[in-house]
Amino acid sequence: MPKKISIGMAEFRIVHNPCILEILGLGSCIAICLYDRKNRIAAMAHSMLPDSRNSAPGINPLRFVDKTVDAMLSSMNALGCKNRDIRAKICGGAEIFHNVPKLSDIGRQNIKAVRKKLRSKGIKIIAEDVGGSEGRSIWFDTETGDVVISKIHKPTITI
Amino acid sequence: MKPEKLNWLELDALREISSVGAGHASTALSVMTNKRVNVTFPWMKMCPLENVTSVIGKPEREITNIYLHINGRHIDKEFEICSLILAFPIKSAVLLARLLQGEEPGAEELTEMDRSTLREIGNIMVGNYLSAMAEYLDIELIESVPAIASDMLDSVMDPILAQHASEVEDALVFSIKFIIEGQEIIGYFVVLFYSHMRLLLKNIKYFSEIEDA
Repeated sequence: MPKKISIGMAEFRIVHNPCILEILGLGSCIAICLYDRKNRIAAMAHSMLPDSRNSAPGINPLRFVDKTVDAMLSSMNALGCKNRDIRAKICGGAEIFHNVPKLSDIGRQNIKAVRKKLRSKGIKIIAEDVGGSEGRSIWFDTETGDVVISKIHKPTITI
Repeated sequence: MKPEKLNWLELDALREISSVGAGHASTALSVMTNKRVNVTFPWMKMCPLENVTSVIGKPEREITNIYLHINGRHIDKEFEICSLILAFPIKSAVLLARLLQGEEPGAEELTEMDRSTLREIGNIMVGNYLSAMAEYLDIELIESVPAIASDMLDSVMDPILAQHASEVEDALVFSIKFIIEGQEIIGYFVVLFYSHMRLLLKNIKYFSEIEDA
């Protein structure tokens, strides 16, 4: 059994040795899985909000998609990964509360922000499982690049 | 610069508000249901936003969340004060709703009637919490309509935590205990502030110092 590493809110991990990166109970937050097959380096982040621009001073920048992607890529680049070799899979961004002002839209904004940010860095999204109204648990196998997704009362899927 | 943390005096004031609020809520729920209902907050913890769910339980535990958003009004200006969340493991949510409706528990899923009862409990709990707060503060507090969702713990907390993530570092988590006709139900009460709340708490501090003098 490969080692499992849980990624909490506003965290990311970069790994070289094969392992499973997991996020349990992803709601409106978004999981960004990056994978460089050539260098066998993978990373996963658990991001809460799209944009750091309106954040108060002192707030953890890894809560935001824009800063998180920057941080992931600069670490991966430092390990020798080129952006053109990195592939992405994204999951999450659900609308858990329906028709509730302020809450309902966060997931959709996160999805939009990740797509835009990755495109601006020249990184291809090769698979995604986003939106919907239910939470997800996800397991990213860094050896194969597979992402397994489960929801309450639903069969699991792999992307 | 780090956002300011709440100090012990402010925490103490919040604990005081909570126990007064719990007392009011006990009375209100007893009158509404014609049963003996007692509500208490056995403990309170302050923790970073990111750790709220780990204080409550395992990330995939199925939870029902009742969410209310609170605005304040002062001299024609309205501003955001806090979000309040009542969180129950799904079985406890069903039990709580059924006991208050005077029905048999047993089911594992919430019916529309249960959901509406839980929203009403949200209204009563939060209404009493706020009226306790209003006893300390010179401000009008306005609560939103309660929203309800059930899913994995981390998933149902996500959007609410995210909504505060660009402004505040910390959250308050209380455990909440209902005793209804001898049956015990444990849940959680989470308070997430906006930065305006700091000003309010400065008032609380001021008032509690006057009381202590």
